[in-house]
Amino acid sequence: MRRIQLYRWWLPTLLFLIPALPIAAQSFRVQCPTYTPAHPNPTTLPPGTPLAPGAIKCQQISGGDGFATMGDGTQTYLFGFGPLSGVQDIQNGLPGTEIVATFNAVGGANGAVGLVNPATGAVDVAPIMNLGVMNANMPAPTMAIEEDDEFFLTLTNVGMIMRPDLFEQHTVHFHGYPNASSFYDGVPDASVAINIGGSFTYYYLAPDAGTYFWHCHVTPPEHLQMGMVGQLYVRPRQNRVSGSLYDGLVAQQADRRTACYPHSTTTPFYDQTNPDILCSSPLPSNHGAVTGGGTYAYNDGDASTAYDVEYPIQIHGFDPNFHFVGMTFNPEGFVDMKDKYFLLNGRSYPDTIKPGPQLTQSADGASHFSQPLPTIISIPTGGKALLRISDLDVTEFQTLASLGIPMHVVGINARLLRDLAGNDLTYYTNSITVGGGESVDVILDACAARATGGSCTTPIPSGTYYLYTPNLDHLSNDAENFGGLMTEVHICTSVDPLTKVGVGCK
Amino acid sequence: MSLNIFKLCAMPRLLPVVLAALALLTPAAHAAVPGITGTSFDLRAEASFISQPDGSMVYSWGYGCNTAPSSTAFVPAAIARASCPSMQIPGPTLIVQENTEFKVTLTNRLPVGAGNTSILFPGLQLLSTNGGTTGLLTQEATTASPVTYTLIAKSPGTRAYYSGTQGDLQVEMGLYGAVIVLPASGGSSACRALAPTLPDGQTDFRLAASAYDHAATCYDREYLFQFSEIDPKIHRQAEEQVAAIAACVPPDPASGLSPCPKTLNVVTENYHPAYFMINGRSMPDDMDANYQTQVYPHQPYNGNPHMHPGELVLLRIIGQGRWQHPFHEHGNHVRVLARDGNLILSAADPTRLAGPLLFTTTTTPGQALDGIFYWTGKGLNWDVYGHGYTGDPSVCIPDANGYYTQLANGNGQPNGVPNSAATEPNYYEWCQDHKKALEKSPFGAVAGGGPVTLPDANILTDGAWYGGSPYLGPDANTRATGSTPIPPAGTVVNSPGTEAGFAFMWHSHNEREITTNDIFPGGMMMMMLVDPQAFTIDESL
Repeated sequence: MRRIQLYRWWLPTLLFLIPALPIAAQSFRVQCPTYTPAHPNPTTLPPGTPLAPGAIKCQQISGGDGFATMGDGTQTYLFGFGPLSGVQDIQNGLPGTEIVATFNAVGGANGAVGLVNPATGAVDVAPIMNLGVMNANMPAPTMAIEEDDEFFLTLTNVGMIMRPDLFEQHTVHFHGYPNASSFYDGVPDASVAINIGGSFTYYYLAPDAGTYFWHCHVTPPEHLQMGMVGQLYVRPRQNRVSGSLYDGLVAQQADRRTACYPHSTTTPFYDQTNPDILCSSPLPSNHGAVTGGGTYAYNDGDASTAYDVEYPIQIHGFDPNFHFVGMTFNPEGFVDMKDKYFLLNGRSYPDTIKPGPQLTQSADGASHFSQPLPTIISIPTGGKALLRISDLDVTEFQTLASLGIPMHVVGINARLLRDLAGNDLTYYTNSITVGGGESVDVILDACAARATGGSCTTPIPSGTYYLYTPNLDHLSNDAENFGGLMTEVHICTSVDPLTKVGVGCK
Repeated sequence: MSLNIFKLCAMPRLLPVVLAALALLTPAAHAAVPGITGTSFDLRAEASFISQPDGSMVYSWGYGCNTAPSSTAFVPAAIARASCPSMQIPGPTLIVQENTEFKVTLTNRLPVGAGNTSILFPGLQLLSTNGGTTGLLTQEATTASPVTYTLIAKSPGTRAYYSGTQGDLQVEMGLYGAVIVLPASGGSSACRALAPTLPDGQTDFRLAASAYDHAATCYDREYLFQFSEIDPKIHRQAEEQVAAIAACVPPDPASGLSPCPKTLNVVTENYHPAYFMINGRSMPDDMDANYQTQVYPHQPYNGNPHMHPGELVLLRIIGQGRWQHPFHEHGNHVRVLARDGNLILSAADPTRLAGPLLFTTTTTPGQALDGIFYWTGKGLNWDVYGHGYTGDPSVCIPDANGYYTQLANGNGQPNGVPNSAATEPNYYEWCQDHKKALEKSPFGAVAGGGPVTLPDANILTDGAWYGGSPYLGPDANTRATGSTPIPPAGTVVNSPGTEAGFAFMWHSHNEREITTNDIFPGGMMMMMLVDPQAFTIDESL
């Protein structure tokens, strides 16, 4: 019924524009092309042409509202983004970014919800609305891509069912993206925002590796406080290097897009005396003959950011008064905003250590997956965990401390801590302090002493350790005086890096 | 066409009011780092009112000029209508030379009961003082006796200055400002010297060739941003108590009534700010012009950054007030050069910078930070100028960094003359993406065959700073949108026909602070515009 009305309204405009308008003027649609100019069909390339690195990745999310469960059991209203693709992966605590074949699998467990025709991106509205309404996740679906990937992110605005007074648009701001385009930067005042009943596909070639994050940028004091915040990280192409890591980083100087130094006509082919002032990966000044094959946080060229398992952790805070007002059409107080719930990946202790996704009963009487991510850090014996920490609190700074396992800060604001002469500027600490809009990469090394080759000679004993906040007032769930920003770190015999499931954990 | 206006009126906040205010904005209001220069500064501390976008006038105290500086003292000279009132917030920006002694005289014109006042100059060397009276932190000016500070800066860079007397009250009331120290040499010889124009022929508004005496600190453009808050409760108490002291008639001692109050007793905790400002103004006022004295008699400085692609922009960032603010720059990272005038260099190689790359440059009260930012669109994988259409004559010859900065020689290579392409509309284009299409089947005269299909413009809401299309510049904009007028307007302050820049929000990421007394938008927010090369950035307006 609704679709027919929409079509009728469009008709005169459509007829006028038909010669120039692309495809159909359907408001909801996804985009996930099988081939692009940067990743063309390999069968059409001249023989011997190397394939372009990276891949095409896609994700669809809904912008709307929902409910979440706080640490003291309170059911809290939120604005949020929910998954409309990669749904099974999200429920298993994984990012919802998929390769083309998975995204475009009609009816697939991780496919785009509602997809009817992968070639055109045409969707059936009903499955989108059936899942999308009240589907808000806290935090929003995680996005994870590799350098050299092209990322198509479709935001579908399903409306906020509890706020019929709002014609609210939503956007996605890719926070921290260098040389971002204004059109895809997601700031509604600076460009465009998608209306209710429409889809907008953001397009980006992956930026330099690091821990970024994303969030809605419509009325940020409201939408961020209400929960429209999510995680986003880019893995380095060094993960694909099997030979010498240093040579791999030198090879990156050949492509000006990935180079730190200008081209030179003499040997070597790059001018190391003149780095770009915003260069993200200078060549390391002191490097051994380290070979690749592992996973790294950055293109370090010397394995200094190697890790075994990665854990995204997003810090946030909720003001329960504000959320109640947000549900009940009352004027909002920004001056009086005061967080009382403190969240790691959308949950407060002890929910942070409960495995599996969390469900919340919403105003429609149904239970929805509201908070898919626990924050259980499992590290294999003598191994390393990379904590990709971001903070989207809108009122105050937050501190996260590690009890028992030192923190090695290797990156700040999605950039490796290294000076432009290639010297190491990473440091060790027991706590990190972040404000809203900041991110930090911390490696927890479960090894007290290593041999020169890197193998662990004195592992930290197996057991349960803690990440918690020394802002002791944030160790609470509103009136409950113990909760908030706290979670457990387990040293296990082994940990599956994909599923994060640990074996032999104490 | 009316669709967007309907949506605006339905917004439950004061957005229409704010947008109406935006429409009154001076069309091209930019900034640079205006201030007064010299070796002797005659300042006073005085009370007045400053305005907020919600219409309130907040009783405040600020530094100002005790005597009007000569017209040649105002820099940069290209900024017209410069003036220094007797009270302004922030205080006058003092621009001095490294290693050159200078004096600051402070006359205390604060109201009766406010007591003494003073100035602290962290990061500068206080050589001696004259006059005034001994205070806790420094020599203070009484109402009867001004104080003169003799100072010297031993390194270049940005510093804060603020009251050293009853700081919890006086800094809150507005007694703070900035000192800019220029390198003694005028700047590194490796950087382009100060000149009337930049290579592209547009006015050079810089104060020096580089931020420090170091070849890696060159810049093309600079801005100063000072962050502060206002708790109106504190200002109201001060205003009422000052009035009570002034109006009080001493009672007859025999009456038993209390004597007149002699000093203020303002409670400054619990701290609950409602106003958040950049350079003394909240959004959208911060985006009006510098020195707009009819509208802002006591708030001369603005926050309205513009730049062309490829320009190195020096950001001088100071935390005034008492809270930290995570200042987030959309569009790229900032390379931190220095903190409090201390250039951060590699311990192993002092020719190389060692400050971090930050996309959020958090401010700390009393601390100053210098950083470099630029935008070029490198790595987007599509041509932001919409090149590649049939008959497109544009060229992009990559230099050693991959940008179009030099015109072609006979062989399609850079001609070896630095910045010879500076007047080209696509100067500093990232050549690897030249002619790469964004759109699959475009509507309009831009290249097709790209990866994305844009949604129909009728299901989007346009922002006030939307250029009109995804592309940069009026030429690309017009070609991309074709003859059909751009649906729902609302593109008020980034004219699609003459500017069509890329807008990026620069703001405090404690999002509650981008409000003005519960109204969004407001507070600590600015829009930074990356303007197409052809657009003239005139900081003097």
